[in-house]
Amino acid sequence: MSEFYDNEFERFLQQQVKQHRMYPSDAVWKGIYKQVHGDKKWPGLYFIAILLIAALSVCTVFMDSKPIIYPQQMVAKVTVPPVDHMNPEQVTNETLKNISYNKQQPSAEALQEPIAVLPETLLIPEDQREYHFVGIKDAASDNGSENATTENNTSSQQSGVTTNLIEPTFENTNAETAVKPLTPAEQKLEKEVIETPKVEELVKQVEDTEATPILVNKKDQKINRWQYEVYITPSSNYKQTKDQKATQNSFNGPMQTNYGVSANEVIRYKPGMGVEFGFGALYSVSNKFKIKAGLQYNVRQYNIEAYAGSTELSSIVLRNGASIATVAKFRSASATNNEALLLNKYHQVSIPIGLEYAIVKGKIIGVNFAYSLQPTYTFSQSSYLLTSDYKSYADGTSMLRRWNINSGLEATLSMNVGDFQWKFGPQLRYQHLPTYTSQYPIKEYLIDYGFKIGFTKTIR
Amino acid sequence: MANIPNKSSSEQKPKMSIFRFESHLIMTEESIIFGCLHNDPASQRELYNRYSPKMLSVCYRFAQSREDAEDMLQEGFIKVFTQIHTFQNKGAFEGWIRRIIVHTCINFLKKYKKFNEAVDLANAGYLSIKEETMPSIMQAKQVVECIRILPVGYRTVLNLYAIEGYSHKEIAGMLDIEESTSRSQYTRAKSMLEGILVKKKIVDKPSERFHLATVLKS
Repeated sequence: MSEFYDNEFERFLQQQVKQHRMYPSDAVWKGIYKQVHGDKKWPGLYFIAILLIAALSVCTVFMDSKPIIYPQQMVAKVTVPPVDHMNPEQVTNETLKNISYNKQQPSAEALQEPIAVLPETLLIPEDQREYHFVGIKDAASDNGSENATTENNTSSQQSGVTTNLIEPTFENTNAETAVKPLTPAEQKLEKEVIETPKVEELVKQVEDTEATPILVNKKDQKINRWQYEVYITPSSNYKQTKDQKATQNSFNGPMQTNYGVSANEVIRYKPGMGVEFGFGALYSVSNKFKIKAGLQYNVRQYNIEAYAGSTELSSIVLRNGASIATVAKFRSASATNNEALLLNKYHQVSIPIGLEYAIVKGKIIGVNFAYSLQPTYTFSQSSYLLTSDYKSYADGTSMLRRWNINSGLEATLSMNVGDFQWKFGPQLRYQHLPTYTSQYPIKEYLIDYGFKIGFTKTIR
Repeated sequence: MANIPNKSSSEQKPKMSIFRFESHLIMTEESIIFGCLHNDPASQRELYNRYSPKMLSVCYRFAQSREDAEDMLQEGFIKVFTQIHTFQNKGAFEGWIRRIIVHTCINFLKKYKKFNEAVDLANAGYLSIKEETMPSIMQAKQVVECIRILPVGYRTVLNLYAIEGYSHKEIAGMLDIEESTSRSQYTRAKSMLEGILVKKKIVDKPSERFHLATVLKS
């Protein structure tokens, strides 16, 4: 090494090479980081995965507790026992009438099968069932029994719960008594029974109202104040830029802030397409007023029109007077046509907490207005900011403000379809704090104009 | 992501690598080293931002291509971060990093057998030098490109001896060759490079003794 500087050739090479710089691609740093700190995947994927899993879980849980719906028609149909379960000797004309009515249905088995998901036994609790005699009375029965039977039938009619009839019982299967001719009292009773317009009228009544289902589960009949919602909002992303006057008191040097023009005049940008999706829970405080909270993921982006040029040293003067030296290649203005489009893309996770008011609440259609305040965490891998001389664009990811506050305003038209209430309408989202840290003198506020599509469903 | 049209030169940086914060005013070298010792990503990034342009230039002189140079750089910085506890503050931190990078380059060439490709002088004699292939940007860049024209064996010895300052004995140890081989290869490399520089009109005329004052063009 001692002879190194003795030779002018080596000295020449040394001097030339010392000035040479090259700038590695981002892949190099990513590779280094991956090796040193492990494979850190894009954090947005985790958030998306969490959102999707949570939304699916919520949907699955609440979909499974779907109420059991059993139409009145079905309840009425099962009042008649299958033919093969009857004692043929106890069949009356009325019974046959009922049976012949039910034969119009596909099959006896089909009539006994519920159309909803639960079996009949779960549909109506055992203790709530009422049994009615449709068949004739045993000839050996005494008058007291007859009276009791008659009373039973009468009380059923009076109480109006005859639609709960499910299983007629035939107590007497004795062959001896079955063959006996009917006594006058029995004939009277039979007449009474036959004349009782029970099943036929009920069937007619059921037919009239067959479209109306009965929610058998009394618990389900309670109105639940909780709802959940899932939504997605495609949006167009704009920004608003403000110069920070306080910088005039700061750095005064060769790379001082350019005060001749405003940043708005320098930055030429194109709005980008963003999206937000999320889910949340709503609580009905009153008939028209709800409070809500949830989890939301946003993508916001816009493009800056710039020019690619040679690498130059530039500077970002901070509000506290310090400056960050930066090497920038993109220019805000250039004589060349070497155009470049710089993408500013932000990923955000927020927790919207807000209110919803139903301005119009019809049976099917309604109009809602909602506001939410959204604490937001922002991360980005592509962000460019204007240097203090307004001539270049530099990497802004390290100056990004992580925590921010957004507001969301929406006016939606709602439509009740089945168990779901679909909502769609315009939405405005505004970012209250600047995108970059308070030290960066140029303030950027993001604004999204979107169209919300989503649904809410009552949690049962 | 930046979309850069009309990308022409190999020197032009690829996407997303344009900007490098060099916040010298914010982080001192001591704080960077301290942070790196504690495996702090921000300090590591700062260290990388500060030294990667110089070190990539070193790698580029040894490498066959820019891609190889970036691979060398990546490997070198991983060593820097994982072995930073061995730095004992007995010299410049940059020098320590540079030594790691140079050794990484040599190992890379050995590993991929690129070092043994063309060491003989006979092949070098037929090298075709075309003026138009050399863009007249900066003289430093031109000189680096001239060095890269040399066969890999010559180039390596020349880089190690003339620029990095290793002795022939050290070079012989690093490259597993005889010391005399290192000397002879350097002599030939120097002669060839002088010829290239003349042909590229970076220097006026060849001379046995390189006179910097007379040959440098403005």
